[in-house]
Parts: sequence; C-alpha cells; structure tokens
Amino acid sequence: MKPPEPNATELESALARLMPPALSPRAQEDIESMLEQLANSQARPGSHVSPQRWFLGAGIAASIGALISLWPLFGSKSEPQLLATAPSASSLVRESSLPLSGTYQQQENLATYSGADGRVQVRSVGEEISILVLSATGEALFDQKLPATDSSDSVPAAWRDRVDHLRRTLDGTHVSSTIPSREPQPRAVPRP
Amino acid sequence: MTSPANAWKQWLAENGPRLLLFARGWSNSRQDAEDLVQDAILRMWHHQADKGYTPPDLPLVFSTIRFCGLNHHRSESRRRKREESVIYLNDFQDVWLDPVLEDDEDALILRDAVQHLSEKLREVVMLKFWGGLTFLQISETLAISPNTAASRYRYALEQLAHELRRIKQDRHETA
Repeated sequence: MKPPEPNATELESALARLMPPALSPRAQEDIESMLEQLANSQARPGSHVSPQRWFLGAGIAASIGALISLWPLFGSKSEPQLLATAPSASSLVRESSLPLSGTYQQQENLATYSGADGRVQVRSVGEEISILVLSATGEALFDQKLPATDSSDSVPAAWRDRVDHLRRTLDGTHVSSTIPSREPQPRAVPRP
Repeated sequence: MTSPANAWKQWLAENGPRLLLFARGWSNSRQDAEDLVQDAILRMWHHQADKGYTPPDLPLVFSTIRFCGLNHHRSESRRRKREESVIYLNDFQDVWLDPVLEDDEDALILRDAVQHLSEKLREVVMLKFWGGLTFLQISETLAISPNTAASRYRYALEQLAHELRRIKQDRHETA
C-alpha cells in the first residue's frame, strides 16, 4: 500500500522542523571585526569634515581673497596706479593716453592701437621701427622708419605716447612678462 | 543611541543563518558561503552610507549575495579550467539545514530533497520559508514576477511532497 502524499500543510510543517545553521564562530568574529573597522574608519576624524570646519576654511579663503584684492592699495603701487595719482615728466605714458585696445602679433612683430581718433601701427623690422599713424578718416599722419635706438620725437605729439607704448610693447620692456612663452594648452582636469 | 557597528552586529545575529543558507546555494562549501555573506555585508555597508549606515533590508542583501555568488561562480569556473589537475574534495557531512528534532525522518528526507531542487525552485523556497520574504519581495530579489515566484514555490512543494512519498515508500518496501 502506497503511503499518502503529504499535503502542503504537512509539508510546510516538516520543513519548519529544519533550521539553517548559524555562522561559524570564526566567520561571525571576522564579520564583526570587519564591521568594527568599517565603523571606526567612518568615524575617524579627518574622514568627515564638520560644517564648522567648512565655515572655517571658507572664512580663511575669503580673507586671503580680500587681502589679495586690496593689496595694490597697501603694497607697492603698480605703474598705472602711480601714473594715475602722480603724473610727472618722467612718466612714459599718461593714464589718459594708454591704449584702450591694443593688439600685439608676436610672429609679425606688430603692435597696433585703434581708437576713435585714429590708428597706430608699429612694426619692428630688423634694426628699424616702422611707424604708421592714421587719422580716423584713414589719412596717414605719420609714416616713417626710424632706427630702433632713436626716440619718437618726430612723431606728432598727440600720438607720441601711444607710439612709445607700442614700441615698449615690441621691445618687451613693458609687457614681456605677460606674453606667454608657449602655446596655450587645454586644461587638464584632474579626475576625482 | 546604538552605534552603527552594534546595530549591524545585532542585525547579523538575527539574520546570519538565513543569509548563510541562501549563500549555500551559490557556493561549494560552508566556508565559501560564509565568505559570500561577508562580501555582501561589506558591499551593503558602503551602500548604506547615504542612509546613515543603518542595517539594510533583507531582500536587498539576498540580491547582493546572489550577485556576489554569480561573480564567485564565474571566477571559480575560470580557475577550475586553469587547474584541471587539481582534485576537489567534497565534505559530505556538510549540510545546509539542521533538524530541530532527532530522528525526524521526514525532516531529514526533506533536507536532502531541498538541496537537490533545481536552482530556480530552491531559491524561492529558501527565500520564502527561511528568508521570511513575501512573494513580492522574492520577485524583487530574483527579478521575476510575483506570480512566477508563487508558482515556483508551489511547484517546489509538489516536488518535495512527491520525493518525500517516494522515499518513504521505498523504505517501507525494504522493511
């Protein structure tokens, strides 16, 4: 005689008499030790920055930024500042005559200035300086080549300062430090 | 307030056996299963960082054990292919479930029968019966529909009942 097949309730009752064994003491110990280490590393000072520390850091950064922005007022006066406050005969360029939009093309040794009243073009050609001054209407007011060592006294007085400024630009005596010595390169953003 | 480590230890004490049982289905030995559990808990710890390191929900842990088991199975298969000359010994005394009562014939038969269920049926039975999950939670853990989970459970019980009756009949005839 075949024994009857147990129904679902009897089967589940029998399954309930089976229990999964616990983790071995060693495994339990290993996992608990790991949890302790994880919790300690998470709570370690330095791994978490409190809001107060953020505020402190931001305050220091703001102070440094303000100091840098105010430095020209307290430190050594830069040339434009000096010219603006104390124009003198020794000043090479008056603030009022500073080019508003000058360009410099290094490969062609060409410095130009364009304004409402005209245009100045100064080119370095070997030992000479080619100077071209055009009025607002395009009329040539001055077009000569001068030895590089000569002064700009022959240039019309209204344009002399701007010509000198462009000549210094070409000589690199005034803005050489601002001219990049290499090609601009794409910015490499460090990966987090 | 309970520290995160203590909360996790308490959670592990409550759920460690059921996690280990489920991990047994994805490993060749008890030691490997325990390693799987530890691996899953480590992943869960980092996963719970955004939740203040509170102990995780069980369905997610079962799912993670399954994921770790799959990874382990892949690496183990590759390793075995490399080391074909190595003979692996099985621990035949190693069992997944312990009977509560001694000489419980039905329970002992079912213990072996559960281990020999197909993987798909065994997972559902373990998660439902010893994992304490609902069919909805099982469906989320195994990425199947709740109806599929329920039907697999029902089919597994039918197979277990059939196996239990068959073995008892064999023993009865032998006696």
